[in-house]
Amino acid sequence: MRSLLFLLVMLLYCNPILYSQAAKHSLNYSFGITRFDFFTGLEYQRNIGRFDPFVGFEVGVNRTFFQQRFFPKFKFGTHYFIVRSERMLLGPTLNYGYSLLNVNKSNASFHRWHDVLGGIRFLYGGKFKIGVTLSGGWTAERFPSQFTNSTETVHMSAYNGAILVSYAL
Amino acid sequence: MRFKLGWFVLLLLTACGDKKEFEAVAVYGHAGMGLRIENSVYHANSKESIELALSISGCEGVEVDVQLSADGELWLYHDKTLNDESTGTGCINDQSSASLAGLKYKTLRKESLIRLSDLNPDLLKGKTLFLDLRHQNACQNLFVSPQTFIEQIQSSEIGQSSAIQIYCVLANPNWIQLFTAAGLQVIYSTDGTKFTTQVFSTYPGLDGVMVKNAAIDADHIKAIRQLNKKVFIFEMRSPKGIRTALRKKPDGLITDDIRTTLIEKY
Repeated sequence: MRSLLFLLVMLLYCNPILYSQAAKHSLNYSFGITRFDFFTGLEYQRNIGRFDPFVGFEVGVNRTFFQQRFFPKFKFGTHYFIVRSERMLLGPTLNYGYSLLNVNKSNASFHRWHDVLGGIRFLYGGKFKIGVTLSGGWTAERFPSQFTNSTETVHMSAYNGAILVSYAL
Repeated sequence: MRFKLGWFVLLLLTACGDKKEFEAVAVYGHAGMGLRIENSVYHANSKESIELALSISGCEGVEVDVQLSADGELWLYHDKTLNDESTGTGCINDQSSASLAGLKYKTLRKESLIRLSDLNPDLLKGKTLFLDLRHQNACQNLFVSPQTFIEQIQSSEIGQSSAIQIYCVLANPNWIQLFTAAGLQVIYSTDGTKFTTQVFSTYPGLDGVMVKNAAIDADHIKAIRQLNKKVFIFEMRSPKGIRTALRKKPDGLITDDIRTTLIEKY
């Protein structure tokens, strides 16, 4: 499963033969709120027709900077801009995110979150655009139970509201 | 630009710091995973919330709110009335266990209200359970029977287990003597405004106190611990509040955010 995902990402980003359209690239900086922390980070986005697949890396602000516990998040997905004018982009977005946090350092108890979020993204501007993403979906938190040797899984709703600045490369 | 990048890298590096000084401070979940907090996932005092809290590595127990039903069973519920948080109405003290058994919390998951006896004693082995006993029937403005509380706790499977450390948390000082005489371990719960260490000379059988974080300082805690009494702090939610509470070095924190507290502790 992991190999397939890796292959998919590689195909999307590294195989220009599959996508003969002239590609536009952009780099986005985002700051947003989720159920467990504020997240900030960068996304790299490539335009392929109406689709704009992206990969991103973020860190949890409270955990990383105010609690001194590194809280990374990796995500990938795609936007599908229905409205695509010179100055405005608007459309649905879908992404998967994976984040992990060592909650108890004394015995390396890592909690992992798998998110699947769908929502809407709006961007406005020229070479620099500002925008907003609002999305909701599902998260599974997985961590080692202190009673059994198995992994505990807790399913819950998830949301993300983020403001962003996009720069067309 | 270089300065900003360097500052960012420095922050990431400091994120790997280690904390040892708070190891003696135990972490307990307030009503399970916390009371009215966004990331607690489940409703406070529900079986799901308590079991989730106990499964997190580093959580050494939970505090639960206990009320007596009309037929004398111990139910876990926080509020004075059922109206706001559950599908029921009125007070737990006025309802039979049969009618309470069908009630759910008003949440997406619709967790059931549970009895103390619904908790799995195996999950609590080696852990501490604080029973915050609600002494007043708010609907009729009457005190409930302390004797029934004592009998129900002592006859329960959890109450009889020697592997579970149980503290009865009492806000009514008039009950302290009754509970200590019955051989139960008692913690006096106070908001701290009128609290002095004199309570320990009035009630020598008292095991300790549970106080709001904002109402007690490190010197006060030190003085209480010198009397061989325990201090537990509650009502802290932000990382800053939790850090402040840990620095006071109490015996334990009754926290509304277990994950944040464990990160601060370790």
